[in-house]
Amino acid sequence: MRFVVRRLGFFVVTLWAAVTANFLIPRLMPGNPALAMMSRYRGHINPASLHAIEIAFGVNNHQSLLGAYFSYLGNVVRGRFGVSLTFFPDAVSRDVLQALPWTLALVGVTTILAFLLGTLIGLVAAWRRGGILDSVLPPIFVITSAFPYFWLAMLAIWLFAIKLGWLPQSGGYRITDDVGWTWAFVGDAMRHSILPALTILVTSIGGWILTMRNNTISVLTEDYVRMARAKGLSPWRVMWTYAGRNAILPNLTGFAMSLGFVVSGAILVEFVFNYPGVGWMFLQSVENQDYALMQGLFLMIVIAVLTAILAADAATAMLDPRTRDVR
Amino acid sequence: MSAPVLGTTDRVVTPPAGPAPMVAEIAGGRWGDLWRAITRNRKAVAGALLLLVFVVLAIFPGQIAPDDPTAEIYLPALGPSWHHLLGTTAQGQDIFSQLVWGTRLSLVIALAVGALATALSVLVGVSAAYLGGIADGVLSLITDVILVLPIFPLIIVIAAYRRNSGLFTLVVVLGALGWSYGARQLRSQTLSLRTRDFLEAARVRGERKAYVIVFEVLPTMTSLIVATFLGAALYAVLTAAGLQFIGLGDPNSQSWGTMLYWAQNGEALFAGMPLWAIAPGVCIALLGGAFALLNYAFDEISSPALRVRKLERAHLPKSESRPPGPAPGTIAEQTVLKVEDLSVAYATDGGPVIAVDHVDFELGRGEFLAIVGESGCGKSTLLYAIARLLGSPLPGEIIGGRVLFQGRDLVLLECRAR
Repeated sequence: MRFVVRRLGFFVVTLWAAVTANFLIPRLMPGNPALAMMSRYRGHINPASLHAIEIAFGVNNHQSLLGAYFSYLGNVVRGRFGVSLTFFPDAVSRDVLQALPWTLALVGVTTILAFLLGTLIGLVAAWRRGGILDSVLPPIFVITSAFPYFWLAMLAIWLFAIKLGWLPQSGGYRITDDVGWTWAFVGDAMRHSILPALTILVTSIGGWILTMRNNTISVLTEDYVRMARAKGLSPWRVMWTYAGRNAILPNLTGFAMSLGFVVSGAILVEFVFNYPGVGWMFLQSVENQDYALMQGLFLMIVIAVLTAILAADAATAMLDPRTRDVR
Repeated sequence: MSAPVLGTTDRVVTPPAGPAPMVAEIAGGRWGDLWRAITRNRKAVAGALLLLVFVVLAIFPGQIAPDDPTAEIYLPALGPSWHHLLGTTAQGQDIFSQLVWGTRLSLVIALAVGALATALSVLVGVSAAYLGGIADGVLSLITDVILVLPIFPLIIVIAAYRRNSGLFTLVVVLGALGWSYGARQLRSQTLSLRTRDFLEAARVRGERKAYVIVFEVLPTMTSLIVATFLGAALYAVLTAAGLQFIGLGDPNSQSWGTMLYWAQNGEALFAGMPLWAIAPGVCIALLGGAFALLNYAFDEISSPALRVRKLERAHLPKSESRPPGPAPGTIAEQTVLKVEDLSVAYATDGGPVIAVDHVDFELGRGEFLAIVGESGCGKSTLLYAIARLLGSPLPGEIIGGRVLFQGRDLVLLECRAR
């Protein structure tokens, strides 16, 4: 229980840090882009969107910095991020919620798949030290882990969409589709997600394989594994319940740390594929200098990553009794 | 000369030839050992060679590609030829030349960010561990928060407010946000060192904290610090390329990420200029791969258990022929365990080391046998060998002799019957 409370506390502190960074960054920049933007738009856009910029930056009423900070915090807590300029007159929160399912489906499923597959392959590679799997895969994945996500995405489009014409090259669905829970639409959305999913899978799986392999190798030297083998347990049982279960713990902690990296890559993959998720919308807002939308999306990404980390923490607590007792 | 690295497993070090290596020699030749370990590791050599190529390209771009990379003087969208090894861009620039000239910025960013992030990691990680108490709590919390915050989106937000900012800002932002992983590792490494004898000795001598940290703690963490640098450099290569690709770098600078930005804008892949988009990506992947390979190799060097070593049987000393013992089954009825002429060798970087050397003993029913010896003389190895627990992940191997348990030779038993 202490563990869960501690992690929740950490969650809140990190979220607060992200919100504060979001508030401070525009203010710390020379020239104050918020004011520059307001003067640029004054007279060109209607009062509602001007108000939106004011809310997003907290620059109305000539408040003190501290006062602006607290009214900003209040707006964030109530989910008020202002109005998007890119998708005017949508509220930012509405746009974010629209993009979220696409990213959750694509990045969420791919990340979990990469984690499970990578962990499995890493375990088997370490178990059969010096075998074919162990001598071929680690060097390959050391190299692929250095691939830029967006470049691999470009290559995938070039090869599978342009040269071979097997799969659609961009978007999340055909423009002619009716969006809804029909078989035709879901099937089409799946077809559109294959290439982006493969790109993320290929570039992110290497990390899991390598860390799991190294964890397993160090776990295999432990006395309890030697004891299990000396007892004459079947190799299968030793591999899963003795070596695997203990080796996966550091990998779960690593999950929390690598997630930010995967999400960063996924933003670029969505950008290359014009995939209608959070990442694509985020870069659109950057391009259009739609700061209200950008800041709302940034917080959304932070919340998504932190929630996933909390889930990984919960899994660690379930698998490893030590984390529950300590302190 | 080669010095076998002493591990934690008990063993007798019986070098095949020459005088026995001294432990002091290993400690004294730390840099020499590091160098030898690097040159012997194929991944490290490949990574170092790749890096060397890029360093040469970055220093002498004019000699390798005399064409001005920005000059739009050729026919657009040419295919590869002798004049244009990789063809030309849609603006009529030479792609090969852009690639060579782009090396400098990518490499400078990687090295500068790597250095800055490593310095911050060492500063925060080591002082957190060494100061302890509240300072440790605060520093660790900051480290953890930055560790889990998605850095790339944050950098995009910063870059969006400060468009076309220069190299200096980019390096500072990347460095200021990329130190947390290294700091965390260095902190735990320092914590594990705190109670070691040589640090206690320094404390007893009354050395100042700063002296202890710089001259006693840091040198023992050389390989981890190098690994931190390599990891940060890899992160810098990929993050900077990503930023340049979405147009948040300086679009007029020469870098691989910027090339990809223009290639994407010029729809290079659709317009039949695939090399324009492929070549810079290959360079980013190779430079990143060089850092990743070196990093992986360093991981292997600092934790030897990760390496697969093959026992070089050719280097084993010829065992003097002994008269063969009695055939299985002819041993006395009351003997439970009979070990004959058992030898075990470990594969190390310095060649095979014989840990158990021609051991014979017999154990009858109800009999006790005490095996006594100094630490590291091979007691555990002998018992592991009898129980057939050697092998992966320990690099030990039975190289001769027999273990008869109730008349059955355990050494010859198949895996399943064990």
